[in-house]
Order: sequence, then C-alpha cells, then structure tokens
Amino acid sequence: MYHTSYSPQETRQLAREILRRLGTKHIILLQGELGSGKTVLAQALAEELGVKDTVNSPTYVLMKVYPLNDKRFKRFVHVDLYRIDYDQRLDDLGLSDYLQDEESLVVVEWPERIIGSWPYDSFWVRFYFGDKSDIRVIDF
Amino acid sequence: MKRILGIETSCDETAAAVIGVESGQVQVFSNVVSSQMEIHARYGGVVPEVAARQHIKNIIPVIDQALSKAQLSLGEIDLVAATLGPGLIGSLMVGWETAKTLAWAQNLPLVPVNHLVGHLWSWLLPGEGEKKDIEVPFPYLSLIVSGGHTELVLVNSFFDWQILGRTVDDAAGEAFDKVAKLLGLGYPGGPALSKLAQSGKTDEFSLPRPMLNSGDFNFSFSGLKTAVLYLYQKLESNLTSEKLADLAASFEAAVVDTLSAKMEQAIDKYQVKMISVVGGVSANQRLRRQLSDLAKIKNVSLEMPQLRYTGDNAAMIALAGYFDRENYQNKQKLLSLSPDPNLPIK
Repeated sequence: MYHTSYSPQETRQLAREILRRLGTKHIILLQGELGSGKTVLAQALAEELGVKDTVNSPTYVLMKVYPLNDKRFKRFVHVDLYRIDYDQRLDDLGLSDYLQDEESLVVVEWPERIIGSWPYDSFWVRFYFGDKSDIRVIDF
Repeated sequence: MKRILGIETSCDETAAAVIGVESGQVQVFSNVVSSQMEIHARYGGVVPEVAARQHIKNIIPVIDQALSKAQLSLGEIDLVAATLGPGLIGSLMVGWETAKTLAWAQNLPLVPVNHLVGHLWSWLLPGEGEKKDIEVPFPYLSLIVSGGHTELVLVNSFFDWQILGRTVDDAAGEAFDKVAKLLGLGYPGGPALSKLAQSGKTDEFSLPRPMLNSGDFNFSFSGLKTAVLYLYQKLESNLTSEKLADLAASFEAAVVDTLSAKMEQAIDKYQVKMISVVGGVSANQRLRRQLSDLAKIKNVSLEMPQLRYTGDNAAMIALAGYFDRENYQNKQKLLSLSPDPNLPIK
C-alpha cells in the first residue's frame, strides 16, 4: 500500500502503522535511495519502541544495538549496509544471530546490497521520491 | 621511561605504534599504518569479512615493523594498549585478541582503549624523532569529527570528559562521503570532494546550516545531504564542472560553518582557554582555517593533530592507554573482556 509523505515528520508517523502491521515478523527492510527517508523512519521506529539514546546513522560501524524495555522485543538492531559491496553473502555480516532471534527487532537500511537471501518473512518498506522536493512515496 | 605498544584495528586500518613517555614528555618511536582503502575501493565498499581477514594477515607484520622501527624488542615494552571499540566487530576482535595474547605471553599490563578517546589525545603526539611536553590546559573543548563520529566534548581531565553534543543522524565525514557519492565522485569521496571544493565558490548555492539555533550542541547533517541532492537533481541536465565545484564548495562551507558555530557557542558557554579538533575530518583545510580564525577572535589557543595522526592510528591508542593505565589492574578480568562494537565514550 502506498503512503504519501509530505515531510520527515509525516514519514515518522508511519512508524506506528508499520509496527501495528508487523504481525509476527521482526525484520524490517528499508529500501530507498540516499535522502529518501530511511534513517528518519528507523529513528521513529526506535522512538516508538522506547529507545532513549540518540539513534544516529550506523553506516560506519554497520550495526548499532540498543536495549529495549518492550513486551515483545529485547533489543533494537539498526543495520546499515551502505558501505557493503553488492552481492555479499548474508552469513558473512555477523547478523545471523539477530535475524534468528525473534526478540530482536532488526531494521536494515540498504538491504538490496544483499542479493536474494533475506528471510522470506521480512517486512519490506520501499521509499520513492515524489514529483516535488519534499514528497516521498512509501510502500509497505 | 615507559614504552607503550599501541594496537588499533577498529575499521579499515591495521595499525601498531610504539611511543615512549618520560618526565612529562611523549615521543613517537614508530607509527605504522597499513591501510585497506585500496582493497575496499576495489570491492566498491567495505567488506567486513575481507576487512577482518586482512587484519589477520597484517597484524603481526605491522606489529613487527612498529617494534623494529622503534629498535625495540617485545621484551622492552612496558605496556600494551589496544582498541576495544567502537568499530567493526570482526576487525576489533583481531587487534584486541592479539593484544591480549601478547600481554599474556609477555606478562605485560594491558589497557583497553576507546577509539574516540584515542582521537581525543591525538594532538599531543609529536612527529617521529621529536619530543612534546604533555601539557593540557583543562578544561578544554574537543571536536571529534570523522567518518563515523561527530562529537563535541568538554575535556575536564585525563580521565573525565563530558559529551556536550553529537550528531543526531549522519557523521560529518559520512556526509562528505555520501554527498561525494551523489555528485559522482566515488566512495569514499570526502577528500575528492574537498579537493573539488577548492576551485568552487561557496556562495553560489544557498544551503542550510542545520541546528544552529537548536539550543544544544547537537549536529545534523542528513538534511544537508538531502538539500544537495535536490540541487543536484535540479541542475543535472546542465551541470557544468564549474557548477559542480561550486556545489562542492557550498556544501563544504555549510558543514564547516555548522561545526565552527557550535564550537563558538561552546566557547562562550564554557569559557575555556583552549579548543581542539581531531579525527579524519580535522585534516580538512577549510575547517582548520575557520577554526583557527575563530580561535583568534575568541582569544583561545587551537590544537590540531599533525596530519598523520588525523586518521586512525595506533600512536594515539598507545598514549590513551598510558593515561588510563592505573585504571586497569585486574588482568584476569581483562583477559575475559571482549570487544564492543558500540562501546560508548562514557
């Protein structure tokens, strides 16, 4: 379903909707170009789940883990594969423990850097640029 | 004299260094950095598994080289210091586990170092063959700017500091790299972007100075990245090389203005006598110029690391380990310590 967002604030508001529609899934994949709103949404997801720390970009270290006091999730795992070369095997990234752990909410930016190997029950969110500067179309 | 072996493998460089500290002076006997940049550029990005494997291949030769350049044997070392985090887990593991093994085999004291704290002291390091007094007019302000970090720190003593602010999204160096990518300058293209910016006009495009009046010392560079993207998209069809240079220069000026403005606000609030800028982005010439102008206006001194110590290196890890040596006496506990990719600066 397509959602049109006219500002970063509106993108943030989609976090709650995503968490509601997540069902039993625990891996959220955010796909979109630079500046399309992925980190904004990841930060909003973290905030919804009660992360108090600053959730800044994990590009450099690939992954940041935040403990959660949530009924369902024990940790928020923010992954950013921007610096990863295309065509990597998922097993080589040290992510497997989190991907198998249903108490970890794993949010991945640049998931397309891995080809065809994400768990089938991942929740995809796709970001597109609208026809005006601040507009984004977000599909999930 | 205390002779310290430093080991650093938090990301793309395998580094080892030997420094000496005696009667309040520090000297660098050797500072070896083996960069993986070229390998990663060949792959078009960092590959964590390749990085870790390269570290394994490089670590012993790099340590050997650091010792032989210092004309010292392992038996003459008094202390081993190594980076515990933050960084890539596989990379950190190689350096830290090597340090543990050396310390255990040689019965040497071992000190875990936070990579950021290493950067904090990098301006104290002299060139090879020189000596420098360890004199720090506490409290002072330090801006740590690199590909992974943007932190403004009030440094109260060798053991006590306070993070005044940090980036809420992208690090300054990351913004440089990502904008360089947007402009087609490759990745990581921060240095290429700065080079291009030298021939451009900074006032050709008006870009935001994010969070200048946010009332805190936090930074945000993500919106700036998006603003450049919009300009680039608008211009794309008739983007001359001259306009591209202007865009690079306008972007660089926006980042540097923002960093400098927050530093100015912090000087006013904390009334320090000294400021410093460290980390990879501290090699940026515009940032150096602008902070040195600011220092003159505010009548404070400015300390910056020599260019060789702006990027990741092990000499700074050795020095941080020396300062922190009294705090790590329980070796048994240290030997069971594992690297922490998200190690907080405190």
